[in-house]
Amino acid sequence: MLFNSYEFIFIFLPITWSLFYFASRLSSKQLKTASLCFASLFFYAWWNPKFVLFILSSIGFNYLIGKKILKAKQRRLLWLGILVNLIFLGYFKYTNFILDNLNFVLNSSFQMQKIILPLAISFFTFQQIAFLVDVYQEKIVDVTFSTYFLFVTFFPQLIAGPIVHYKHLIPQFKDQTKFKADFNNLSLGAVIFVLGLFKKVVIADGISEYANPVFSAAAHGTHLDFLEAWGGALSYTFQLYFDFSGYSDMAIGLGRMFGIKIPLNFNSPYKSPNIIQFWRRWHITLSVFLRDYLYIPLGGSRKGKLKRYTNLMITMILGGLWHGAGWTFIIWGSLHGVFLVINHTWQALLKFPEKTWQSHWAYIKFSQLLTFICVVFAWVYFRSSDFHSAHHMIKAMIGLNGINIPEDLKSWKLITLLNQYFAINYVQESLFHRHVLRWFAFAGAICFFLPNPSEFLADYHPAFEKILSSSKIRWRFNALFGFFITIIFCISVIYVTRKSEFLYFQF
Amino acid sequence: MKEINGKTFFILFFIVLPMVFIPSFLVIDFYHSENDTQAKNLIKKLDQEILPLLFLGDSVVTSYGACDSGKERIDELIHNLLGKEMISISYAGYNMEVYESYVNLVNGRRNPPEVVVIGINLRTFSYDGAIKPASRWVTKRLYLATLDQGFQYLVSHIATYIKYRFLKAAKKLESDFLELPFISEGKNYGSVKDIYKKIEIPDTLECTKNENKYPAQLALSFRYNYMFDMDSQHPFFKNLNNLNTTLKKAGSKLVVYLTPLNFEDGDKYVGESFTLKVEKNLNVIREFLKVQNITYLDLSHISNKDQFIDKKHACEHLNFEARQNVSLAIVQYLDSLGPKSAPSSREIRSMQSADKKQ
Repeated sequence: MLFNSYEFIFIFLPITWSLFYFASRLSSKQLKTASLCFASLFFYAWWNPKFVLFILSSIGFNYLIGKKILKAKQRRLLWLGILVNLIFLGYFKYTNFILDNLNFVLNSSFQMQKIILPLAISFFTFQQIAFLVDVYQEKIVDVTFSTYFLFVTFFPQLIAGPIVHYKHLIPQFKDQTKFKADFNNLSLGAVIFVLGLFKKVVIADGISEYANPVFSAAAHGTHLDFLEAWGGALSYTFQLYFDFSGYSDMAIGLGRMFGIKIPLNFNSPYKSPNIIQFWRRWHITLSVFLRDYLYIPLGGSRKGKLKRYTNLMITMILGGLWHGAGWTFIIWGSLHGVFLVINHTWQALLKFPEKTWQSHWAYIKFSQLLTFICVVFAWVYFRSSDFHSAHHMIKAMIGLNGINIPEDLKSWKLITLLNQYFAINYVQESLFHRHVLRWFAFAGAICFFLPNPSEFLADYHPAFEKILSSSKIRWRFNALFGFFITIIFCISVIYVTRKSEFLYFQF
Repeated sequence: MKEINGKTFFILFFIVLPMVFIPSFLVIDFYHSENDTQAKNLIKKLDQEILPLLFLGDSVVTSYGACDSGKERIDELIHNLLGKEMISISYAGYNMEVYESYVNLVNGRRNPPEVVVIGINLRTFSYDGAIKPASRWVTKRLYLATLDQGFQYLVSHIATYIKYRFLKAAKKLESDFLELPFISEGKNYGSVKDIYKKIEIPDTLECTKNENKYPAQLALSFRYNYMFDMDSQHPFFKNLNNLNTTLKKAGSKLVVYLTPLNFEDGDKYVGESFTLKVEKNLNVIREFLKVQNITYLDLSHISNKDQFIDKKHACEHLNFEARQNVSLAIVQYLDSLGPKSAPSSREIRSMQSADKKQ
């Protein structure tokens, strides 16, 4: 069941909230927890009931290990827990990838049936590894099965994050004054949910129509020119952001409907002036996980620059691999690792002596643009099905395949003007459609100039973290904003028919 | 502005107002997504002045090949040759059901078209052309009926629209369709889904002569597209009958032509049974047209195998030369409309080759 489906919006959610509401009226903590556990399990089973057993086993195993670590703080138990989690993740996610590479290197032909990836395995595995580490580090001193079960399965975050930690959710589940059905929370949650729904079904799905054909053409080796390649790459850049951040907003909104504040996952990443900032704003919960449970245990920045940069590269490569079992993901992670190393080196150079022009608006705008371009180029590897098509795209993006102008842009004044000075080659059929420019303008305005939903609703502290916003556009529960959200809601409901899965479900 | 408490806000803006707004947005969405400027232009034209020719067709009219010497479509060529004003409503996948909906727009107009020409493509009677849910054009026909009968038609059929647009009805029908067994000459060739897999050809076959690499795929493709079992109970005959009646009432003349078919390749890949079976199917159509006294021009045999394009799909799309021939034949026939009977396609072919020799 997708968040952007009628069955979720008009059946599952109202029933679940109503059950929770009656449990709240009865002031029964057990009933509230049980209603949400049941609903979450049903939500998970909707895709493929046979994996319910798998997630239940995973929860049971990690709970028992966590309990044992609580009783006797044994390092080997922690390693056992981590190892078992990683073995399962590795088996389901990376077996075929490893076999393919072995076959390539050894010229062998080991074969296995295609392994079906249990939904959300990457997310709940990381979540539970973090739990075990937190128990070992004594950040968690008490755990009950029902709250642990709800912590893992809580449906708003179950499928595609944000990756929540025990410290995020459990204290909230325990706080009976907050963990209850409340109309203020319901309204606030619904507003955030609708903003996320709009981002997903209207913007991300709308713009995907311009990204998919270009990447598909690249995969088939079709000749792409400069405009087509940039059209596809930028479309995907916006699509991915609106898709995943839309999903995260929906998750935050849903959590809030039940009185739970879920951690923020996106904070206007494309406004970042550098790659370091980008990773503090993009998929924040994954970045924090990788920082706390990989980068810092590897030594972080404590053992000199070389070790620091090595740790950064390892973290980013594994981060890339987490997204998918493929070399394109490894390259994507490596590229970001290199960007981060360059960024840290550049910052170190600027520190001594301190440069005043760093705060100049032109420098900041240039930095934002440069960061954005680097991110777009890296997304090409992330999206492409293989190296060949990625290189095909990159080649076209740097102009090596020439620049053609679609016939339907011929009448544009700018094109007419350019035509006076340059010999423009017009083409009748192009994958660069002029309508995509409208989408770029719309999506770009939201990404670069408007506050994100968390900033927009900052006065109501929608997410786990408190966001400070200097934006003048601030949400109020009044008639004006009410009409605005109703219109957004109704448009989104109509567009839900263009139902598509979230891009991050495959990870 | 005054703040509203959570409960009131939720009830007002997430329940009450959407109950008003969603139906309104639904109607806006309907008119926006189904918007058909050609149909609107047709109505406008028929209300304002006399239209000599309304032309209705499918992809045979609109298709052209990557290696074609000319890109003009059949309707464009006809327009150039005829030198009269005409409106063409031609689109890939259109069939008799859609044509009937368009013809209904003629109902009650001040100036009905003088002549309506419709191309009958045998393949539109096939599984893909007539049974496949996407070929049924449910929401489009609903829109056209709304243009014809007014907003109240939409109101009374809103459930159909919601069902097809929002409730996966079309998807369900699509999956049911894929499971249908394909029967040809009494033999079961497996489900439509299986047929799709078996006829898949990786090459584009555009501008190449390498179709010989895929004889099995092309044989099955020709069989699936043209050798289906068909009789006079096919629902399209009812549509054809209805539109004929409508046009008769309006005082417009209906002219039908049978589109060229690739008999040579069909025989080459399937065997001689291809022509026998296809002729049998065509005879069902010819017989119906004769019984209904509908004037028709039989162009089914006027093109040779080299004049067909999009060979990967074993279809009836034509190259420029063949499109010119078809257009010329239609125009000549329209010019000659009168008491004399229509020539057969073989006669037209021999006339055209005689013209060329001269």
